[in-house]
Amino acid sequence: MAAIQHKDMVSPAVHETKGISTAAVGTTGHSNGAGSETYTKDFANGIQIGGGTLVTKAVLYSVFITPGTPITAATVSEQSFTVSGLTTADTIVLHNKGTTNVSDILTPQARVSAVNTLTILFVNVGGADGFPGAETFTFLALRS
Amino acid sequence: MANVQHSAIPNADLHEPKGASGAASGTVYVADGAGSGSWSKNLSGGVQIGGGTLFTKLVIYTPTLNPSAFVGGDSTQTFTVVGLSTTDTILSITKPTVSADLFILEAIVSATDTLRIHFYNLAFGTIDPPSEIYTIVALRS
Repeated sequence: MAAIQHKDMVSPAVHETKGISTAAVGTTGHSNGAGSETYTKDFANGIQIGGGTLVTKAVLYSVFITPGTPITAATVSEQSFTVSGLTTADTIVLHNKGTTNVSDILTPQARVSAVNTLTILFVNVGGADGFPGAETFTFLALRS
Repeated sequence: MANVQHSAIPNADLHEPKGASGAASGTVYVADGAGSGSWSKNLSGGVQIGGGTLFTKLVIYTPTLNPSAFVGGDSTQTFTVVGLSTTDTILSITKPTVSADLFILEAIVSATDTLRIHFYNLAFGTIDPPSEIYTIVALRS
């Protein structure tokens, strides 16, 4: 058998990647910054899709929120709530109000106004004052 | 020492992947489509979760937008946001302050580099939203 340089070997003669023999299905090899790698689903240092924005963390929150005051008829107003873990580098991508228990109240937008502070825009499209119900809101925060 | 086929070397005797010695923590090896690759946070070919839609780019834009004044009801206005494509879906648009009686119903990319925002004015009077920095998340597929 003729000698061949290791760097010149091609499939199927080459071995699998180190560690893959015990890696869970669907995991990816990630550098540990110390010359080796581990297989995980966690992109610990962030993810950048197609050369776009580097997203360093994505967290799906599910938080019980109790609005403090009613929303005056045909107006918009913001209310803020403590949500531990949020930073001002987070963008709120989606937010779902758990129910539609108060008709005419919309929540078209949410943002992080300060560390650990979620600020929700409430819209009352009705003709009477309305009080948003206390309920669980779900939202996705992307950090960049 | 017995000879062993390269393809049969056991895990304990394997070397680390090419380039791992200089790779930053948390990076992954991404194929370049030409028989090699590099360690990167950039999934340049996109990402597909659980066999679903292939997302080829995600960008968070922070343009300064200055909407025109309009009277009560709907107003659809377009703005130049360089980089947007008609294959982008706007996941969210965030106005940084409250303007009385004003809210945003939706936003889409109506043409290349063009963001179309659907505003709604709850009042009968005129609203002139201020020029300010909006945050927009666009996901390409």
